[in-house]
Amino acid sequence: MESAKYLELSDKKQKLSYALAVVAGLLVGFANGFFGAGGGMLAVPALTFILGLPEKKAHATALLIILPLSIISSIIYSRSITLGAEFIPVLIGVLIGGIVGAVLLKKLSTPSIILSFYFLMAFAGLQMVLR
Amino acid sequence: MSFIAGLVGGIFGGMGMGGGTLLVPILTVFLSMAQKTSQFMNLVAFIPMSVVCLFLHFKNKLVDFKKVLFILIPAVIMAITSSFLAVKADGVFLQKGFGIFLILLAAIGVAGEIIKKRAKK
Repeated sequence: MESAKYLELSDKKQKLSYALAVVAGLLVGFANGFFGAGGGMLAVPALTFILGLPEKKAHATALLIILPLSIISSIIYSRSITLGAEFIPVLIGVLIGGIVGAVLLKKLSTPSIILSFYFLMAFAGLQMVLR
Repeated sequence: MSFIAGLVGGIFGGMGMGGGTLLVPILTVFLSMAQKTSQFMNLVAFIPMSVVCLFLHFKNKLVDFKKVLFILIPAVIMAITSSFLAVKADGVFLQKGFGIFLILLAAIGVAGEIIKKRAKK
């Protein structure tokens, strides 16, 4: 009896976490499509805190979500927005920066750097609201 | 300048800290690009990097293919809808909305760090 009760409870918990994951998925999709960014920053905590993936796995799996979303959104955006030559330096910058960032990752991801990143983000957000 | 903007975004992206969320405001605020153009650039610019990283993570068996579906499927449906909304939306509205979204993301990030720190204790 006791174990049956426990099973039922954990089953409920499981169902709840899947329901929350669906809600998180809707938010991730909305953010990435509407703002063209930020889906990954929502997907990682969702995978960690709701679905219980370890941090490294959550980061890796988040890419499996963001990649198809970005491809789909890019196709839809491309129907009404065109990118000019000014896109090329941005693209090259992102590619080189991505490699540099991946190398720096092990040395630099201390809590103080992560917190200053969030501070920078909030500041950038404020700039965009006030403009 | 556009190269440096991409470089900064790429570095944070490569570190797994959400490079796009910084690339978009840099392009819009400092390089005075249209909000929708910045968003579109960000979406496209991170595709090649994501492909390479995903492949490497896949080889290291770090990608979870089952649980992810609960997030992936609703996310795809919503992304299609919201992309159509975005291309029709007013640029200034989109920019201000993005700003608020960034502030919220920063708050979520800080909260996550606090939770992680407590869990370690």
